[in-house]
Amino acid sequence: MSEAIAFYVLSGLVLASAWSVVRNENLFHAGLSLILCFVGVAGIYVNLDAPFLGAMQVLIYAGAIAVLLLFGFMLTHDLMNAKQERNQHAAGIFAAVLMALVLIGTIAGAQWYGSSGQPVKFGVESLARRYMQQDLVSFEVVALLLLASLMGAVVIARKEEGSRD
Amino acid sequence: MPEWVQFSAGKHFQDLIAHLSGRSVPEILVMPIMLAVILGFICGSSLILIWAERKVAARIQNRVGPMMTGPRKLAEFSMWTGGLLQTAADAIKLLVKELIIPSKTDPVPFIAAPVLIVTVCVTAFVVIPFGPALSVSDLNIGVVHVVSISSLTVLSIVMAGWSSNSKYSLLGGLRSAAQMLSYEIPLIFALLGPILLAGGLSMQKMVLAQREYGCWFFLPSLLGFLIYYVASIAEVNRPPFDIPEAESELVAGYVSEYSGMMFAMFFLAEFANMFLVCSVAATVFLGGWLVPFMAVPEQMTPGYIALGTLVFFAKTSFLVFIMMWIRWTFPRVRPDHLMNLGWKYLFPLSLLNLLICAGVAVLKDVYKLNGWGVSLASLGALVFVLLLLQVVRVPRPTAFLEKV
Amino acid sequence: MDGNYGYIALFLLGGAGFVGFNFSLASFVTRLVQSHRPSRTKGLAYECGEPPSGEAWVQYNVRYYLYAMLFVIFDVEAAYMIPWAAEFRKLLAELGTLVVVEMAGFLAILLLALCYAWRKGALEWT
Repeated sequence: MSEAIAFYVLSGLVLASAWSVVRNENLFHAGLSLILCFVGVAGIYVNLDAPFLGAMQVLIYAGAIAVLLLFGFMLTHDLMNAKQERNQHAAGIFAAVLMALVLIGTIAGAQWYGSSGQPVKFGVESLARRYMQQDLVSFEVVALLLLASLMGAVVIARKEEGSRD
Repeated sequence: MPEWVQFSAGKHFQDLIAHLSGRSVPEILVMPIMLAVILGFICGSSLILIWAERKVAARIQNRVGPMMTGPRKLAEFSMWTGGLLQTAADAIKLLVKELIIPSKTDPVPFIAAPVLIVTVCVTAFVVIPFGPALSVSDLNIGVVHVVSISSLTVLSIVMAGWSSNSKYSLLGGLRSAAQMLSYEIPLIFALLGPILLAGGLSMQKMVLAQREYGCWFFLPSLLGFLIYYVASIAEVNRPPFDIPEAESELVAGYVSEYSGMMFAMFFLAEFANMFLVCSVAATVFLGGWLVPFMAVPEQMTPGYIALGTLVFFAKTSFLVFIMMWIRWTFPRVRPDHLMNLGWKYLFPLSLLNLLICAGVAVLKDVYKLNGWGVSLASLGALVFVLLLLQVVRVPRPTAFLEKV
Repeated sequence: MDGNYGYIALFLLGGAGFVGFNFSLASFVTRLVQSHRPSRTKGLAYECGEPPSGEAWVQYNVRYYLYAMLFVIFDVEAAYMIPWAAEFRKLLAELGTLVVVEMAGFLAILLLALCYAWRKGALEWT
């Protein structure tokens, strides 16, 4: 019962803040709304009995990606009253519909754990086990991917700095 | 795992109420009481810590510090008992001061920033084990909860710095954000060592693991302890890492435009965060509420709970005192040195610490060696290597990493 | 026992409520003792007593962005390593030294990333 209430409250929070992200003309405020959205999603994870995932959502999305986004916004000119280009509606709607289709397809085709009525224990231990057994290769690939993204970031930032001087 | 471990402070309250009134109450009624206790504790401890900080500063600088506000008899007794009510008076002063919201600010984030910084700190206190079976709630993600929720502090500082629309605030906020981001990485990696040795994330399990292991985790991961301590000083923006509030160049950094109660909230958060990081260090590295040279009884007794809580506060206070001592001893670090220390020294060393801990765990579990002995041996090896580097005088080992 | 995660929600709301209460109390008290007297000069941003010149909301250095990017990458690495560290001893007993070897590979790539950033001068505060 209390879980259902928490779910609806959190979903409302996520939807409202996501709406504010899209509609806000002030980029800084949009970024702050996005953080609220991230925290709401973390709350949903915790509510679904995956507290570690929730903590990681807060640590990585709200604590790191959001700061990166805010820093990125601050690099733009005239952040506080950026007028949106109003002629991108069609492209936006197209992307949103495409995204929705992909999501609906994935959700409809997914094998749902817990639908048998048995509670599923999804904790740190099962994660670690998967890294070490089934997903051993992809685990190492993740590290390579992160290395590649770091190289990209360094190259782009150096170029940016060079053009600024 | 003994049964009493599952007890939390809330359950104690439930038992107490059931004992007094003769009927049981659901946990949801006890939860607000726990909130009130923690809020009261944060306010009270901050009042004491601010007073203590001024007294320590005074002692180091050969002064007496605040003496006039408080019982006169006590002030005449010694410098350490004078001015007890100084911070309470300061709090009242801050309460009656005008709340100025400068006209060019962005009001919503400007007001939300102090709210966020205090809220985050209060929430992190949920998992702190003040004593055996005395945490508000022993979440099974314990340490990760503290780290992840504390990472939101940096958002509050960016919000305060940006929304103030003042150059000092913006510069201070950005510098502070960059500093906190840079030191959060070594902080997390330094905590991985004890997490590895404890085999779990919950704070109470961390303490019990140290009992099982035979010695406190600062011994096998001394490097991790030192890195965590230095990084946490930087995380709470205290000198010598107070670049964001370097008053001689940035006025007060991101708090420049705040006044009255809004400033007080930032101040409160600073001292509460200081207590928080020290209590985490005491729990993870110094055995938390474990009383030295005394076995933990199988059946938890009120006596041991009281003693354990006292020991926990003693360890935490000791770490807080060292932090104050450092503040009044070291000069402020330059920004580029600060970044170098975080990324080029603490971060690689925290990886080394993780490797040492993994090695110790392998030696202990696979080769069944004594935890104590292995820890001492690893410590000895570390010291030996450091001495060797001093004697052999290798040219800078990182020379090949210089910029090309 | 997993602990009660309701406490997180309660403490988030309670902490915010506590600060909100303090603010409203302060705003009431300042009006009571009449210290609340806004004026135009008081509303100016502080700039050493001079009237502030221009806005503070300007474009600034890209190096902050670079540090944030480095932070995100190593933060994600840390997120992957936490479950490994927490279950290390348990998995060591089951799978043997494979656990150590795999993480050594992960750590080696991480170190490579650090060396790359270092050598390219990305860690330099210029």
